[in-house]
Amino acid sequence: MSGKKKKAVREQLTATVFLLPSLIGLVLFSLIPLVFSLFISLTDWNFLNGMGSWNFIGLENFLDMWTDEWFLASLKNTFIYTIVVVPIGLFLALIIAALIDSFISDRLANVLRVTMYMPKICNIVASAAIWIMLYSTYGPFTQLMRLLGWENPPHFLASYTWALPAIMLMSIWSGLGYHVFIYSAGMAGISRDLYEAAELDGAGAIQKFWYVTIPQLRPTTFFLMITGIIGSFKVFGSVNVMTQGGPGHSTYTLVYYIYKSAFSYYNMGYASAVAVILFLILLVVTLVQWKHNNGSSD
Amino acid sequence: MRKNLVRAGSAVLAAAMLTGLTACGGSGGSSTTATTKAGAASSSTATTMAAAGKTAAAKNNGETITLNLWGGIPGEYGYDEMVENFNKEFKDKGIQMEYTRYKNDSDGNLQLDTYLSSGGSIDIYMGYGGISRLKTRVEAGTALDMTDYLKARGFDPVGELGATNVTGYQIDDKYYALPTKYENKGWMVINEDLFKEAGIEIPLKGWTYEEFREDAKKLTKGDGQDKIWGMYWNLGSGIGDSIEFVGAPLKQYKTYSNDEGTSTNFDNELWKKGLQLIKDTYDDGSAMSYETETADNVTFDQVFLEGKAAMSAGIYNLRIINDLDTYPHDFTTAIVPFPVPDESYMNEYDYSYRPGAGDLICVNPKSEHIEEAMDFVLWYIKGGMAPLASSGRIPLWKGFDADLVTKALCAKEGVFDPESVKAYMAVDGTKAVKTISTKNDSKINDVKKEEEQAFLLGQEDVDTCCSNMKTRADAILAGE
Amino acid sequence: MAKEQSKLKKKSPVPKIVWSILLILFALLMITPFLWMLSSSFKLERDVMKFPIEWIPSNPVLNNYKTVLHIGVKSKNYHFLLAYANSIKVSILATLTSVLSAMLAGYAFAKLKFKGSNVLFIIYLMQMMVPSQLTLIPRFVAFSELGLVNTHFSIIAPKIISVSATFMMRQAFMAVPEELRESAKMDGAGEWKTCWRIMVPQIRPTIGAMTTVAFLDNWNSYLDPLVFLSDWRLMTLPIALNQFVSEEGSKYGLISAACCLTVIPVFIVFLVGQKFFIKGLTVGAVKG
Repeated sequence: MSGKKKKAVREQLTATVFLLPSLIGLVLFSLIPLVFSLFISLTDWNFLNGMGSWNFIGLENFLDMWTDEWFLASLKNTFIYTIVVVPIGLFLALIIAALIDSFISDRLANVLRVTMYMPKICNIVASAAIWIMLYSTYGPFTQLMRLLGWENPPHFLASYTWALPAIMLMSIWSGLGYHVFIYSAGMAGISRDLYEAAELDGAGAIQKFWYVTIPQLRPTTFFLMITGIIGSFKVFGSVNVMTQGGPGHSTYTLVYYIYKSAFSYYNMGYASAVAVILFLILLVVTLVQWKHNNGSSD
Repeated sequence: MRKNLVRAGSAVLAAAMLTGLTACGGSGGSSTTATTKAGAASSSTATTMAAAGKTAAAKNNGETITLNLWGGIPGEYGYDEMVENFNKEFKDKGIQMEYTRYKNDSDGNLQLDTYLSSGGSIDIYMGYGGISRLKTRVEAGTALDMTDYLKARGFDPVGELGATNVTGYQIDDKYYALPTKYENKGWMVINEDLFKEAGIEIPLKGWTYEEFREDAKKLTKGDGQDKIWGMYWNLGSGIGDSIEFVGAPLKQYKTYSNDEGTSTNFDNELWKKGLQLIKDTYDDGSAMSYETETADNVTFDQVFLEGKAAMSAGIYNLRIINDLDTYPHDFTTAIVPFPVPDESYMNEYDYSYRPGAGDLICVNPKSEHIEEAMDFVLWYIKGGMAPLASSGRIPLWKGFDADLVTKALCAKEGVFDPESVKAYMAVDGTKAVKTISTKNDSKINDVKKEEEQAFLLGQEDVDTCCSNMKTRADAILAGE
Repeated sequence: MAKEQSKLKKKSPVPKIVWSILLILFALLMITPFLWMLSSSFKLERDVMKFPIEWIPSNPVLNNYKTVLHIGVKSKNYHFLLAYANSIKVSILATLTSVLSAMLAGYAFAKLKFKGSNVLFIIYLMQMMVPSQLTLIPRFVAFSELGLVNTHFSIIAPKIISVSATFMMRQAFMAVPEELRESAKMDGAGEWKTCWRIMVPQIRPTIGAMTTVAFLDNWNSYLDPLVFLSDWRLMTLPIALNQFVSEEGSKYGLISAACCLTVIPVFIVFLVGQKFFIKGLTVGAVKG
């Protein structure tokens, strides 16, 4: 009896040691910062005034932001960005993965997927720099548009209308390879029997895609959608390198605005409040995911 | 300190030092001897210990102190040489210096500021971006109030650097920064060869918006990738310095309409006129479009120094113009004043109401070597910065002889028009105006920039632009 | 993807060829920006924007690379080799920190019985929802108070907590049969030895996958180094490149060369170790 107890105590101790590094990290870099952020978001703290010199102002930051042009633009742009980039990216990837899966031999398929994956491993600054060049007045992308009959293509990154779409196109390009990979892995997991059964029912290629592949890939699609939404809401690098939020505030995004108000204006309180909004949005998305996962595994 | 030693490579600095040393009486009433090796070489090595007061030598006993200086200019434009001189001269006193270059853009300044505010090991830094960025730094407690230190050293900034240059950077009558470089943002650069080709007189005495527009049109030629523009506004790298001239005639009421800084002056007609001038040159094709500037990320050297524009804003580019190794070009650049709205403003050229200086030297209040840092500041201003003169930074200190500085700047045949440099440096600097600044400067600048962008990109007309600017900026002022 | 024959493959060969060609073209289109960048990096500035594009430069030059690496030209205070060294240092240390700490924690959650295990695990999972952007400001304030801004430590230390890696490790350890652990214990091995000698080798593929993914993440990390590193001597590659791009403006040949230098080594590593990468990326994804 006592031996067993001793063993339990020892295991408790061992576990503590094993958990210690990550636990310290959790407390120092996640829990405390979270609490601090939530607190600071309720104050008017400006970093310039120094540690401790903050006034508690309740929800004022959260009320003020709805009249703040920059915040509203950031929120709007981030939503538009997500709503466009995620579905288009997924749809394209699904089609390509299906085509690869259906028509291409395994060896070539692998080469194709790896090739398409290249943009994803390129660092965001290099990607952005390349696209700045492609979009420039005499850049290949602009020239291609001229070739395709667009007489006066705009200066994409200096246009109120086109700067955000230009960044979105780059993001789709950058993420496509990853989505194709995951979809391909998902398709490999679909049982052959389902296709054969469909064939017996006289289904053609398109019907099989529609009635077998897509429903079977629902968990994959869901996973990609959630991670895609989360990633999209955090978009920052491409904006900071390509447009710095401009022209005007037409490409401001939430994280860019957090960066700007925290480290340019030193409005830590307000920036934290915007970060809390971001957090809440992501929280809702994640909760949806959990609910969905628990629901589907039952 | 017993002896003030001046070794000047070129006659420029020898003379400069001689005049300057008289001003250093405060450092202990020491006897002054100057030795000169005149005409030694073209590379100017000037060193002076004049400013190094007794404090520095007394404080450290045997241990070497390293001062960290941060600046936005690559080391090879004189900073490396300056630091080398300093290190040679202060070796015996146990003070050494290391120069770190930071990138003077929004990310780079943010990096400097975050490092400073976290008590980073920077002792002295060069700040840019005028009063608004300085104001933020003062608020953040990252710029030392030098007033008393200067007094103790007997250095009177107004007398030594000129009222126009100094008062604009004072905050609450205190010196948190000293300008070190003469840089009059009311002036611009032109390609003299293209002017001659077009048969246009160089407007050294000033000109009006209307004359400027006519000339810009005449100077424009060609098409497509080979086009030569009359004007390159250089606004793409962030509307800022290049647009200074627009509100300049408003003097201290450029941004704020009252001394308290509680409302802005953006609805003034002069703003509209100035912005409209820029837009007009875009619209008639005599200036490289704002879209091209921003979308293609073009920079000064790739347009003006490639001969693709006859005129350009951005007087801070003298350094680049003078660097023929990196930016080879074969035309002569002249420095001319910006145009004014109409004839009635022509007499305002007589005195300088525009911001006349740059390179704000600041000391980090958290530095462990404030005394030594202050010694360096004065050493730098009073001659230490001489190596920078030949690479395009005009020293502000009155001890420098203007003629000799001009000569140093124009050492390379045909790069600058010496006449224009003389005119540029001859601006009367006694009529100073005080800049009004508030805590919200940087936010207001962002609002201004956005609305200007919207106007220049054709999103709104000039009236809407200016009234939006005013409404939004005033709302920010009211909010805090 | 073990798939012997596909669902439609045996049918007519014509669409197969057509689709193969189309997809190859599409894949090429995807990497066209890189090919263009590579070709531009060997071009004179005036040739870069020629249209139609000269894929093989008519006047090939190495000048751009020489300038970027400043061989024989003036120093400009961007130092790509130094940035490389910094990136390698930071990425390796950050990756080791996160993988090791996740491994230990994952083991504890999977194999050790201790009080509060479930509650703690739920707290861990909840932390997954906290975006690093939210903790950025507090982290900055804390490091700033401690005078640790502008050190590599400030970007490495927070990597000690990686909830998703911990989760993956836990899953992997759980899949290892309990008997292995028991028999090691029977032989008198302590918990540490058991974990390190017996259990860890069992999940090597997961560790490899986690390591590669974490390394790539750290290598490409942008926001944190941008905020925390001020001195160019400490900057990592993306930040150094960021500076370079803003400094050189429209010198496209030069910028292309700089981009190539930062990107091509990663491509090579990726192509060599693609199996690991792919596993790392798909781990956890398909299970949904």
